[in-house]
Amino acid sequence: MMRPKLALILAVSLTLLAALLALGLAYILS
Amino acid sequence: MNDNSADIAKAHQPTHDKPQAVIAHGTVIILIAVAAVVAPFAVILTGARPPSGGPIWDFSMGLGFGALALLALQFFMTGRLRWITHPFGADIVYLAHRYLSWGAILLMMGHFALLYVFHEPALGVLNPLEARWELTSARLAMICFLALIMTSEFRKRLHLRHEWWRALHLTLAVVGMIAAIAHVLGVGNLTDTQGKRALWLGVTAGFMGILVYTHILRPGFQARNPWRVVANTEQRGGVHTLELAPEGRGLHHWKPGQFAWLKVERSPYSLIEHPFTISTAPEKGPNIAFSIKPLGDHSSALAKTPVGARAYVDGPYGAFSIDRLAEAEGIVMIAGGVGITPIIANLHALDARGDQRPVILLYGNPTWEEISFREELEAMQAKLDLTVVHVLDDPPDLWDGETGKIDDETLARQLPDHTRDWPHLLCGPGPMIAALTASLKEMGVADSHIDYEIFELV
Repeated sequence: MMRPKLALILAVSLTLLAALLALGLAYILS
Repeated sequence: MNDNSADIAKAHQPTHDKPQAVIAHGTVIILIAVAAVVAPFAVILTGARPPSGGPIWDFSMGLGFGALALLALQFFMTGRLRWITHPFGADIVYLAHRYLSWGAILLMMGHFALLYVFHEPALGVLNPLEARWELTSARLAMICFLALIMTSEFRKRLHLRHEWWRALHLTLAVVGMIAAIAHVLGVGNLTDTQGKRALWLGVTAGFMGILVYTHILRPGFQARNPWRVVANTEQRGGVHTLELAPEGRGLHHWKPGQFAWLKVERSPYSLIEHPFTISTAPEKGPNIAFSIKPLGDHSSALAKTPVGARAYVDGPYGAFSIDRLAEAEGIVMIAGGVGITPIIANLHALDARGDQRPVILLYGNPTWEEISFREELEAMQAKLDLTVVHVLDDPPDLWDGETGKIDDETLARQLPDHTRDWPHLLCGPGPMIAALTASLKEMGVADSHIDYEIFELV
């Protein structure tokens, strides 16, 4: 079953993306 | 098929969902979700670069904005917007909502924890009477979101009735989201320009818009398009089939095996509704049927619905359909008890379309007499290339078929090697699905060839 895995991958990826963007923001601003 | 049913079949003949089209559609939605997460950061960095509060401070602010972006997405994921649910299936969108809520809370706690450890004076006092309102607002948001997760993960252990949980979920989500946005705008960090404020006001308008659509406009549409229960037939196995006729506009673009949320003898605005598979095929006409097994909860009351009762239907949703299997050479279907309903709908559709692809159905039941739709399946065997293998817990005398529960040995005996590349559609109790999925994988069936629907998330 691929669909539940897709849900998990999507949620983890979006969370990591948000965290990485936060890091990027800190890097750019400081 | 007579002329009339041929016309109906033609009118309802859905186009197969081409795999490439479904993947492209899903990709577009995922890209929009990614853009929604990137947007606040892009807006913050437009125009004059804002002053830094130090790397940890800035990282914490970034986590806060990231959390809010994920929270805003949640409203779009749970609004039952068919354009969003179509490629994945509504169950998977809800599952992603559940996982993503953990992501959002992690980012939110990170935002708070970094400030608490490294910039504690900025948090001020805890007492709401003395604290700055925008910081109290943040604490309120955090309490709401933590309560949301706890009441959802532990609803059953908390003995929280589904309808109360839903009302609480909605209230906490709205209060939490308004408090979070008020916090962002009130604190004013990185929201100092009109454009940046407009982004968050836009987010507010977006999520409020979804709520208005989901809880006011869509039920309003349902109120103008009610359904009438025209038959309640008891099937074998205690299953009751409710047949509903549309009194307004019927279901649109409905696919075999899909489900709908059903409200019977309640306001269309009520939060009390339950998902049921539509057990008839679209080709059979505008009337739809739900087959319901009384299991001691809401289903017991629904099974007793009198003829003439008014109903409201929110659907169709779901991707558990042969319309997704246009390229399959044959199909394996496995059902436990009342899990037969989406399978029956798909078989009816194969029948109506004259689809002669081979189907092997393994169907588990307690006894011979309790096999729901037994006669219907026998009739379909005469018209389709359908092999039905009944598996009985308590077989009658002289039974020479399969006995016990459907397990790895049943699968090995009944599924020839050439079926490994066929799609396997499973529907039944959770433990059965889990066990059979593992067995099928061990037999060499690829993950992508196993599908089931997740009905109970909370």
